Amino acid sequence: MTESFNQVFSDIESKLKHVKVLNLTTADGFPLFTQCIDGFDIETDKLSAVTSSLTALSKAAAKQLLTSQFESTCIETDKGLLYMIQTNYQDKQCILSMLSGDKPNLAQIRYFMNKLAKYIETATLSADK
Amino acid sequence: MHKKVAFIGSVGSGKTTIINNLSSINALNTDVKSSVDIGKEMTTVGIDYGHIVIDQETTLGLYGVPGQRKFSLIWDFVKEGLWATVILVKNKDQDSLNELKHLIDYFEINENTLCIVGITHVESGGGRSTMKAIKKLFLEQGISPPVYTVDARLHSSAHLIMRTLIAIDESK
Repeated sequence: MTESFNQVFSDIESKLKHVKVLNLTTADGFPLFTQCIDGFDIETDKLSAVTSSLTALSKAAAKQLLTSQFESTCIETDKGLLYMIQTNYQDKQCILSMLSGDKPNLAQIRYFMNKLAKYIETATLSADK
Repeated sequence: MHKKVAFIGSVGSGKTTIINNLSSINALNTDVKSSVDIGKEMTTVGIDYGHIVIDQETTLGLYGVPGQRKFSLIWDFVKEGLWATVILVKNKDQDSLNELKHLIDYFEINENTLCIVGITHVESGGGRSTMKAIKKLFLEQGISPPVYTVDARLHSSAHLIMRTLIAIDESK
């Protein structure tokens, strides 16, 4: 069954407060799906390229410094955070990322993003509204 | 002193290969599988980092950047504080030549920049037309860096670039 990415976004938005953007991009930085809250705009190509670069660097750091498998990366700021997690979609290595606004709860974000990343591995998504 | 060398050039010009070849440590690579046809399986999306010890006082940090413009975030932080820039151009590849002008501007390469151009993917005795086109483009910018054909896979070829950079720097 095909589910719209918009629906996926709505589901996560109902569980996590202050979600601004949800993005799925290929590991080499091509955006597949992006959904923002109303009134919030982001350059999708830039977000995809940045998440691709940061994830690749995080993976290299995990391998070389921690000698372990990379799972996720988080950038925290005074106004929110950017959370990136590896996933696969339609047999392609991908990155699922989320931008969150005020007072994010990192534990909750990690839990739901992990869950969503696993779901995406077997899902068929569409860009329909 | 730690000196920073950037390796720039279009996709598939051999930046990752040359850094892997030159580095005295296991180079850090951020290659991922390409999801579109770019003429090769893997592509750099983060940064390649290698390291060479020249003598007791000097080490070179080798920084390879992604070839695709969308990753200019990485270009921005690599271009700060450079000692030298190595530009790799794929032989007989118009995209690689077209990208050259953009890279010269983006990395602010001028007559005071320590810079070398390497033409890669050259069959023996080839590369003349690409060399001519590169020299013409640089002359239009008022710059005349050394231009070599280079086999990024060969240690000796890669080392020639580094030795030339050091020689030019010492002769200044």
